[in-house]
Amino acid sequence: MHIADVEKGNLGATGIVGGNIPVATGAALSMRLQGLDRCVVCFFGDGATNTGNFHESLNLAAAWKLPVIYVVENNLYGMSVPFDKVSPLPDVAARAAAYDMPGIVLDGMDPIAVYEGVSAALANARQGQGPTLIECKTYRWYGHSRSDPRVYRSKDEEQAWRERDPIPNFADRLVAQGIATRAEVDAVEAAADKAVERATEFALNSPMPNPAEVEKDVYVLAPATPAEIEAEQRLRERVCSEANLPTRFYWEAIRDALREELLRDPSVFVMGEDVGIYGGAYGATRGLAQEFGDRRVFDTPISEALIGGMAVGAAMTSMRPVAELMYVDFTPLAMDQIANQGAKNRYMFGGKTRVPMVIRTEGGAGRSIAAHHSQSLEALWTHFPGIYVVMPSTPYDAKGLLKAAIRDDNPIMFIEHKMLYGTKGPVPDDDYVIPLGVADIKREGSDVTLISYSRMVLRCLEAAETLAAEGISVEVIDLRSLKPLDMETIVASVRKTGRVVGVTEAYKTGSFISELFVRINESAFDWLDAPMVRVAAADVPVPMAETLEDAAIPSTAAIIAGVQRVLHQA
Amino acid sequence: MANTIVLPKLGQTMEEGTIVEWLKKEGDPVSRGDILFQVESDKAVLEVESRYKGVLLKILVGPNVKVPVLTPVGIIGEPGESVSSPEATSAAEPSEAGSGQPTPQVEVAGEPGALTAETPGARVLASPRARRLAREERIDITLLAGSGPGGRIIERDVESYLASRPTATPLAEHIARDLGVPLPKPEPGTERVRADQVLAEQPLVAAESPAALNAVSMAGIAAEPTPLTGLRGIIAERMAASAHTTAAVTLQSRADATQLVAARARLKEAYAQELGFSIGYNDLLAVIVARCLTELPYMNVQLGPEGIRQMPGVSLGLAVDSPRGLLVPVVHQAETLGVREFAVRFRGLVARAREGKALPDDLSGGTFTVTNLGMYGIDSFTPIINLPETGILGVGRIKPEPAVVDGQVAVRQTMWLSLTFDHRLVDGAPAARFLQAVVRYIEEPYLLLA
Repeated sequence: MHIADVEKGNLGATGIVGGNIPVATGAALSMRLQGLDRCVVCFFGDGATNTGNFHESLNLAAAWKLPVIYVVENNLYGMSVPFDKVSPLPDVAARAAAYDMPGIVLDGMDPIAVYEGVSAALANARQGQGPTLIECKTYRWYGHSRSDPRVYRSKDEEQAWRERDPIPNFADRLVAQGIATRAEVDAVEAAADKAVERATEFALNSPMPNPAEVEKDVYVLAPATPAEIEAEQRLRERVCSEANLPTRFYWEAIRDALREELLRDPSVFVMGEDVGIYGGAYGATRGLAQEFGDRRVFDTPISEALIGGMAVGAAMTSMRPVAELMYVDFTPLAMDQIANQGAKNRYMFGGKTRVPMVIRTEGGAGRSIAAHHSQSLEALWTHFPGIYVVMPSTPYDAKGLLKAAIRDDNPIMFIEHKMLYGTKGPVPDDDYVIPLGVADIKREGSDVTLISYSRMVLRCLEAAETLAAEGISVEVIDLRSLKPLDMETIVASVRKTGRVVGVTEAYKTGSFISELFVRINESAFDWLDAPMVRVAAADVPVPMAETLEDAAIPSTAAIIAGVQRVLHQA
Repeated sequence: MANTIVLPKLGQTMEEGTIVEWLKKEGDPVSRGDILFQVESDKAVLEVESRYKGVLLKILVGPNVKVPVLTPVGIIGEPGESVSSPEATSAAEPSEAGSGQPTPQVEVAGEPGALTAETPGARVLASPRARRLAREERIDITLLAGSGPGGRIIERDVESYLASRPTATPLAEHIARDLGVPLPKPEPGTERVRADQVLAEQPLVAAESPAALNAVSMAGIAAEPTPLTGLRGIIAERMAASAHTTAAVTLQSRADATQLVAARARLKEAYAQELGFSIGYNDLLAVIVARCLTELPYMNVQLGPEGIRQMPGVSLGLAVDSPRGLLVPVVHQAETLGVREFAVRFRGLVARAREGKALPDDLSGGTFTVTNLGMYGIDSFTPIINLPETGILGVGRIKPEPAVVDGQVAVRQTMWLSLTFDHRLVDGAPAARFLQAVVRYIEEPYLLLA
């Protein structure tokens, strides 16, 4: 469990077995995109074949004829539950028919049968004929784990399978057929014992990890240098002050970032639901499929888990996927692949892998399209270690941050806002990136610090403008990236104003603003002159009716009230 | 309008106290200066006077409940006035906030109303930012008035205080910083706060006398650092204050106490039955010192903000040990008392203090202190002046020594006396004359009759 040797092509065994099938499929996609004559072999048990991941993966691998062999070790029990109790078909392999791919049942106790079956499947895959599902009927000598009392099967059954043990049986066969002598067989066994012994010894003699390094290898750390931060600061000032800069829609800025990175780096590709000829649900990939072809920009099935897992598998094998999940409301469907696999692999594999992928998605309310298409779920993603969360509010930020995200070596959840795609702003033609983890003071002020991100920044700026007329000077900080978080800018502002209002479009309970306030408490408590005030969405599923949606989501008036409250609250 | 009475902070380190007894009942009329209640701090029982005139409308904290200082304990107002001070109401009624609006988009971090729902007055409401600034500027935040919601002290309150803050002499600043106390307002007509004013504003409570230094046993000091709080902290403050400001000089002289020993033996014998206790050397010494202070009143002065003040009578402090710690009862108008009267008065004070029933005057307002370490075998030492007093007499042990009397070596009872005085107020020669006078009365106690 949890073992990997990514350098040698072993992308890891996972604790959530079915979750790795999309990752393997993504690795196969990666082989295809790189034009490599390599094939992915993915091992799992009969238990994992009842997860959606299995079906999403087989469907796509067959549709695209990806070079992958799915090997099911059917040992008759998923932990303790017999396969025949949870499957109408006795053979997993029979399911291959649904995806129009070969499904082969092999005697998993016969090495020759397995060798021959896999060799044929491999040849098929290399010839571009697509995947094969191989089911090896086998058995598990011991329990699922050490604590398994094996009450669900009989001693007679165990004994019957013991007699089919391939190791002694195959050795006898080699000796009987004069292929090997008994002494040679014994020598092989002794060598195997020795290897295990040496490995055990090596493990026992290796030092335990240093507790001081507990946070090592969660991320590929490449913090922005002061020079980079300053360069961006200068560019930002130009954007604010120069009148003749070209203006771009937010969606155009996203598309331009993708286009520039596709041009710049051949390992970058774009995939997702409707990102191809359709150009993306909100138009952010318009024209890219036409320009770059279906090997660089392509549609996927509506299989979010697969999209997330494929991005992980491709990222671990030298590609830089930009995968779109149409709504942030859908991202929980891919949570296992992105958060459990993608975000954790580097740490769990001792820093021996990188997962440079971007999940592009969009969130937020404003179109009366209700609680399955309007949420702000960024806090789900900031919760997991190992993944960054970026949420731009302007076309300039969107472009620079997306380019930076694509070049970054960590998994990144890049959350756009559906109500921002149609906003316009100055975007320089320079090939610029915005360092991740650098907040932007969108408006300077001295009385109150308003902290927000994404669309709410615009409302904060409106509120600040209104309040300025009343003589209240509001500083508006756009976090731009929630992870990494720019505490330096935040603390400097809190030290200046002593009053904080945090604004988010997310549900009030457990929103990122709550985390932000704790951080401020930890870093700047002594600078607070009033309890911090949060302005957040109501704790109700985002309603569809316009009046209710407006009532649930922070308005400019609510932000103004929040500022008044932090100034005068009783 | 109703006025809230709070448990006063009777010393720099007092953090909580217990009301021993209310001397007024609810409904009783109260005049300014009336004693409202007795409060027991960590050191003594003191009486608290009313600063308001009216009727005691409500007792908020009854006897024998330990509460933090500045806790509202009662309300004084007009007869029939309803009790509606913010502190009183917020304590009695649950906060109305948090009742749960359906779409509470705007919320204070923490539950709304959490701050006002706290025990009223249990702590000063002040924002962290205001506290930080006050800390940095060495301002006692409890002295400020809050202009924020619910009376919360916020940054601007500290800033406005700072803007109007008096300037002080470098020495006053230095002392205030060392003591960790705020600078007082300058005296009317003066521009800057002076060092003596900083010191004069520090409340003098009984055990804060320098003699209390002796009460802390070294045996109690473990390897771990002991925080400089409580009695120790007070002593540290007082000692530092005295050392910082006085120009202390100690004169020492050996007295022939043979006659004093004889006199005391005779007095003891004569009055033991009547008094029920033995008259001691300290009683005799007190009367001698009081007499000398009357004859040489320049030693009975104090330095106040307006200058050197001649104290009208002798209030003599005399250190005694007690189960409650070291106490320095002060016998007022000591110059009017004979040995017997002094002894009775003094033992009365000690008994009251030991029972925790000392009144504020019992333990404060001294003009001169006598401290006797003779019982510990100490011959002479250099006492530290108990500000704002001017002098302190250290008394050593009485022991037989060879001495020259009328050209012959004889064994005499001798005693070392150490007078520490503040040279800012008294010069060396007059101080020496004072000590000389004390020595003379010790050597010839019958002169007291003259």
